[in-house]
Amino acid sequence: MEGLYAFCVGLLTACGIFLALRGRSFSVVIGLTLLSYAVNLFLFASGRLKLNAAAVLGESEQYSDPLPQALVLTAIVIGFAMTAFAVILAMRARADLGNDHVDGTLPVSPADTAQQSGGNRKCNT
Amino acid sequence: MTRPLDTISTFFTENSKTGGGGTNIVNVILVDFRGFDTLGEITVLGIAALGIYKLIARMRLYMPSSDDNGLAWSEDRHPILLAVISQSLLPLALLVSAYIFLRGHNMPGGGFIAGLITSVAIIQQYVAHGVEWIKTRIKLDYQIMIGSGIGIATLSGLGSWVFGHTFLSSWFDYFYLPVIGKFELASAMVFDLGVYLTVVGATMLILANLGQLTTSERPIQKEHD
Amino acid sequence: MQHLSIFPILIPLLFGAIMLLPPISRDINSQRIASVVGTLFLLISSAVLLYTVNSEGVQLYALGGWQAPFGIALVADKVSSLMVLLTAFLAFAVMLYAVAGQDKGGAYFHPLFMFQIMGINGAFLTGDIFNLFVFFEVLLIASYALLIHAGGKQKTQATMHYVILNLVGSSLFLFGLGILYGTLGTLNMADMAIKVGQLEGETATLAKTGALLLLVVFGLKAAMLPMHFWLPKTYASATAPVAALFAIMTKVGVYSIFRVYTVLFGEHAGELANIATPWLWPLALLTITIGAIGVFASPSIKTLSANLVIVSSGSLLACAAINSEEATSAALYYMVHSTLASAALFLIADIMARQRGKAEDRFVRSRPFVQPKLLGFAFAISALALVGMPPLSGFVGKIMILQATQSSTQTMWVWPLILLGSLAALITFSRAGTTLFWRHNGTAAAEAEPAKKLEIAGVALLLLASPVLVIFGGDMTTFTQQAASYLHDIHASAYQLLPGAAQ
Repeated sequence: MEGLYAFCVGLLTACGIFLALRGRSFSVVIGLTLLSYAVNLFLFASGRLKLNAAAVLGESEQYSDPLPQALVLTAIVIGFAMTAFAVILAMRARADLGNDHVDGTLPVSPADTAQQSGGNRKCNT
Repeated sequence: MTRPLDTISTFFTENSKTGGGGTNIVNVILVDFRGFDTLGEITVLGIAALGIYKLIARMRLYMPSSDDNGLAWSEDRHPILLAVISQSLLPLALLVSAYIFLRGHNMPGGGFIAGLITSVAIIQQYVAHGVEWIKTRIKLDYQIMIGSGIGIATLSGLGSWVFGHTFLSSWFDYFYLPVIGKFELASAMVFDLGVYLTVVGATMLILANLGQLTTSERPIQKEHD
Repeated sequence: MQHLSIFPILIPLLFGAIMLLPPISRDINSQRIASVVGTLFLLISSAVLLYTVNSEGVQLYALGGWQAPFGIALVADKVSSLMVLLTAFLAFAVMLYAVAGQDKGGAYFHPLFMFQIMGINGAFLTGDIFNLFVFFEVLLIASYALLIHAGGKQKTQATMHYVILNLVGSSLFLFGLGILYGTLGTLNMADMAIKVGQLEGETATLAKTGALLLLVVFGLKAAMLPMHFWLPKTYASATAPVAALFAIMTKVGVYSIFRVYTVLFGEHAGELANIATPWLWPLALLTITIGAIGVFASPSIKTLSANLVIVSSGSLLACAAINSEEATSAALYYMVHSTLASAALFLIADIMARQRGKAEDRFVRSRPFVQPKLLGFAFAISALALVGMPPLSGFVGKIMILQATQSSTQTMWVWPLILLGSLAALITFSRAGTTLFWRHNGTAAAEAEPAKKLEIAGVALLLLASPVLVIFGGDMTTFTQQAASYLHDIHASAYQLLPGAAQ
């Protein structure tokens, strides 16, 4: 169980970082969201994983660590607020600057250099 | 992370019922043991909503006149089926959120979840009827909700000063009423009410304004850019 | 008074919430009055707090009545109450400046300003590492919203970078925090400091990973070298009062580095003792270098002041790397000085920019100022303070840092860099002053408005701090000395704070 869990968190983090490093604000926002999911799962696991151990008194024999769960709830809400802000900011940047590149200007390279660099800048230069 | 670990959580498990008055340990941590974190958290949510409102205020993004394939949008913006169903769902959703709110201390639930359920119910009305229709019927000022939510949560913490305790100290007791039977009142519920108000206010301020954004058509003279 | 140590958090929170409610929310004038009154209250209560801490010792405030390490505790010791007072003073002066007219240009300036102060004060006072995260987020989200105040393309673009970077930073903070909780099993910093010494083997390595992740986060806030590039653009594009308030933001990062790496991972931490020092050394020195180069290359005063913030961050980080009582004491003094002086320069730059028409604050030939004498005087004082020339506080601060170096190797690295940084600032300031005040053509622009009285009052308050810091330099250094020795004495700063825990 721990191995699978760790693998999933790692995969989410990797995807999140990859997307966050891209040039378009949309993929960056998605990447940040994935990263915050990964971090929430990670924080949840820092109290160790247990089965059948809900942190409600009288519901089960043993209890899992309730503190990380409470921390995760706080972190989720904060992450939600931050992501919402980032989404709207990306929209605002699109409206103000006329494109959705995080730098506010599209890379000057014409289409041929864009193709060489793996195509991630290909979309309508 | 598979090593055994001795944490401070055993204290929470032992004191949740006796010290915090609830069996849902996570919720007792949120509103009592670490209530200060939650106060910070709803402040973050409230500020985010204010910031987003600030961002949207002067934003110019217009609804495209057609979709990607060049087809015009449907004229029927508010289907009657959706409108009728969502309207009848509203009281039910509010009831569920009240139920979730009240049971939060002992079972999964609480002010935050209840706030989200309420917001979803109201958002549903926005989706079904459009912003203009809602504006004439729901006259809630979401900014006031955020302010009063944060205010109530803070004041519930200040209340404990009167009894000589530190900020956010909680109090709870059990009462009996005919018909209803034994029930519990806790100062944490006032705090939870603040959380509820802030969550509803913040999510509505964000989503309602976001929805409003794309309903305006692009002015004709700006078509060239 | 029992509740004194929570006042610096509650006052801005309550004032912020009230300003969202009618009737105040509808009327900017009553918001202004509320803001000034609020910051004034804050200033008074912070001063009383500092006085109480100085005479009665550390104030521990257990929230909800739950004793540390189980509940969240606020710790008002000499270091944190000094920082809180600094914040309050800065906030008051900046608010005086802002109410003169810069607060328009967008909704919610006053509530956001209050929430920002709440976040900063909370980050200074809290003794719980997750609570520190929460307050970091409060101050960050408020800073995002303040940054876009008054709008404009430049601001949107700068905010975009700032927000994305800090969101990644917040994720890293939580990763580090999760690792530390997973290895230490506690969130209270004093409790962590005690438990960290017992770690060994693999667990210690894990905790080290977490601790260094936190260093990245704090380094991002403090504008430490690889993570400094967001700062000049962000600060230069922000509205003047916001930029001036932001002068304390990098100090929050530096303060957290001091808190975490001297108390938590200090000399007593067993296998993890002083883990940050090998990283801090090169990064701090390189930060000073890059900042100095940036100072040379600055095309306008706002960019210049932003780069000076980086230099001062680097100097403070160098103090953290030296890791001794003298260095910490020097850092505390320098922190107070540099925050106030750079905030003043941001405000002065704004007044100048408004009087020069299209040239704004760039170093180009332009129209003369409407109030050349006043501005020249203010500019000269802030320049003297920031360069570190006698007789102002920058000189004392830099001398203290230079004296704190211990070995010859340290001296060899720190002295030339700090002195060269000052030289860079000196050259740039003289060049800037010459261009701004003496190379002009035409007459003063008719539409340019002279600085308002409240604005001058705000700037004057900030500038006045510099000579006051020198005149009361003796008391001040004694105080920072005591604060530093408290921070380094783990038995005083950790064990004493845990009445609930078995030692």
